[in-house]
Amino acid sequence: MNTATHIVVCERGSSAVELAIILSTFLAMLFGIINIAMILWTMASLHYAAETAARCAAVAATGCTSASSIQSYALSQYFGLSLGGTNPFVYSASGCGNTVTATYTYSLVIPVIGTYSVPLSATACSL
Amino acid sequence: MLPNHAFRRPTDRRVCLWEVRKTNDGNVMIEFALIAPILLVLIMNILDFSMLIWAQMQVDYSAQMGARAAYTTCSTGTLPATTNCTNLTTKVTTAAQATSLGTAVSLASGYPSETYYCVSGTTLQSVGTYSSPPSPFNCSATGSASTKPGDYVEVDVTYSYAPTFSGLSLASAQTLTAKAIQRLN
Repeated sequence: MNTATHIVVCERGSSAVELAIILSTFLAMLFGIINIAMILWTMASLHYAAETAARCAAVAATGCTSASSIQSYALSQYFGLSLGGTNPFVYSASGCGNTVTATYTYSLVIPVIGTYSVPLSATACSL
Repeated sequence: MLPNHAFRRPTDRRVCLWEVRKTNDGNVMIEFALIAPILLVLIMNILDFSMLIWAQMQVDYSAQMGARAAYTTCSTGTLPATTNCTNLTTKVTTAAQATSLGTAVSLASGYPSETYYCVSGTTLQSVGTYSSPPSPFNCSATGSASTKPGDYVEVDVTYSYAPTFSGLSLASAQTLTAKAIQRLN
């Protein structure tokens, strides 16, 4: 590279700075999408479990004859992310007949920025 | 002509002149600034379509639960249920509004309705409604006079969907509907 060419063009370090800014923005978007997907997956799983348990209670199947057994059955039908050992499902013989609700607080962890609570709930009723 | 970086040495520490005028600094930034809004709108659309599909599934479930409520409440009593099953509309409405969408779901006008069907070949054929039942009350319309028509209740529900990012989203505000049919006898 001759001196004349060098004087005209100087880009030392600019790519690295650009990469740092864009990569952080891009990664924030990427992990945002991943987090949203995980939240929606949890929500869909809660709904599926609540609906299945309400159905089980409505037909009074073996294993769904008491409130506690229905709640356990609901938890066994939950196939989403780990709920941290708690059972969010609650059965009540109210509403249209057999109502199973789930309330769960999803802990959204964003590195550097902090942790947020995302309340999720599901309701299903069958008779 | 080769790109500039092809000539640059890693240890190049010479002072650059006319830096402000001639460098390409920021090109990637500008490109990203152009792409980012498109990407954001895309993500918003994905979210709204996901919520639309989820709402449609809840509305479907709502109609099914309404129809099941009609069966549980009225199938053991005397038919037609429209006159002989006093709790029909109340029970169906309660069940249809017991999903996560709650009372935002409503029964369509005229439902639950009762219709008589007969088997015709491999399909069901409507032979009358509650207000105009088949006369004589059999399946002669489908060539089987010795068979009684089946008593079916239909539950239609509606729900108004509104996108979260209205104006940016292709999933426009619209009415979602679902239908469920259940035989009572």
